[in-house]
Amino acid sequence: MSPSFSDQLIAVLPRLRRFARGLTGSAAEADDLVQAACERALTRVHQFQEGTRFDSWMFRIAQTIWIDQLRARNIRKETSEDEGMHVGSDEPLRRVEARLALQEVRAALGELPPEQRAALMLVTVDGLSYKEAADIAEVPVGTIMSRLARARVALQARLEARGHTRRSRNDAEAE
Amino acid sequence: MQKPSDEILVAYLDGELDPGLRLEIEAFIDSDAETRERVTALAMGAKLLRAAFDPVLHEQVPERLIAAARGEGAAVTNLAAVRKRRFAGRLIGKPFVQWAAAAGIAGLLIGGGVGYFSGGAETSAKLQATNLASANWLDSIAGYHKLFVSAGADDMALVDMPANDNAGARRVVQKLPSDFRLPNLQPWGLQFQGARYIFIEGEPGTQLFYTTDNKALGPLTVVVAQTNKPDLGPTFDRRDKLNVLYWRHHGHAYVLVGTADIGYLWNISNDIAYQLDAI
Repeated sequence: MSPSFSDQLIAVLPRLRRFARGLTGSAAEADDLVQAACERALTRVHQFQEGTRFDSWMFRIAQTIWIDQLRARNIRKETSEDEGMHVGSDEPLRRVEARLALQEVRAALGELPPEQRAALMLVTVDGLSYKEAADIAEVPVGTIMSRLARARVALQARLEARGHTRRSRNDAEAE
Repeated sequence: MQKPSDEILVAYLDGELDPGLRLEIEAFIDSDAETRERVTALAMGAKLLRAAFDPVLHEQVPERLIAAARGEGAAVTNLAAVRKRRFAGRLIGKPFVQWAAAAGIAGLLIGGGVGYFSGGAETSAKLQATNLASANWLDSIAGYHKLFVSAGADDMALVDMPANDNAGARRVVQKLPSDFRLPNLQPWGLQFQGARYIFIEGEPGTQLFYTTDNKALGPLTVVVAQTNKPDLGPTFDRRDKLNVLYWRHHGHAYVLVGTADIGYLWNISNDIAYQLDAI
């Protein structure tokens, strides 16, 4: 393995972990997925085409492995990605609220169909273009476009519902 | 114009529309409060989503993943054992200064190089050197950085050349590449505390220790050594909770080790490269 290949792989690890976290909804599963992606990439160095985007290639490998795992195990998300994220009792209230809000966002993402989750992570979170996301997902650009629209609308609906629920609870407690 | 679909609105927010359609959508949004509210809500959702996952980028990448990226999956298993061997002396020979001095002798050999030994410590030093030789030299440099930080700047047993020893400075320079000079990192608030001689893969070098009151930056190790390997661009790495940045340039190998974030290390590396290459 050439040092430059390894260096590229190490450089993309943080983004790959973020992508995997969004897909799996679990920190531990995400790191397992990233490790599997690294190992697979190293066995397929010869398949990487110089001049193409290395990060996209790695995202595709990770997504492929994840889909294979979903199909093989037919798993449903059982654990929240916020495992181990405990809110300290002395944490400022505003920060606690912000953290809870972000937990709800991650939970809402986890409720979306896998292909919508992947599209959101690639385009909305990682900032890839529709074309790049389509290449990674190996689907037409139009498919990515519709997946994203459905995902964004569904995410929005879930967030609004959760916000409404929380507000209702607060109102009840206030009464 | 008809009310734009969610697909179009999302594509508009993602910057994926062609200029003509984008202008049409913008005009429609300006004229229709309901669509404007819809776009604002969708944009907010995207912003929240990014905020929810961006912290992952700032987490420490687990060593097992870095090892996997290097194709060193098997090495991960033995990492703890290597560390245990390397720092076996940590638990014996208190007070701290005594064992640190012994470790200093052993620490002269990194990556299979040849250093010098002193007196009765030779056998033990050779034994430890054998272990060190099989370990990654970056591990050793990072390990010594931790020792230095633990011992504090006043513990001169860890350095071969104190900061205020001019004769020592000359000795260090004599053992180093002829164009070496001490990087001045005072503009960063980093004070030079001392140096020790090392060998990296058989080539002489020095490990320079700097400290600072700036907690965001923290103590820093700078390694400058000769190398016969080809140039290598700046490469980031991690050793436990330490950030590492190393590169090779024109026959010299450079390493920065510290708790400072990558941005700090990157900027300091540019400064050092400028200072040392300018000779």
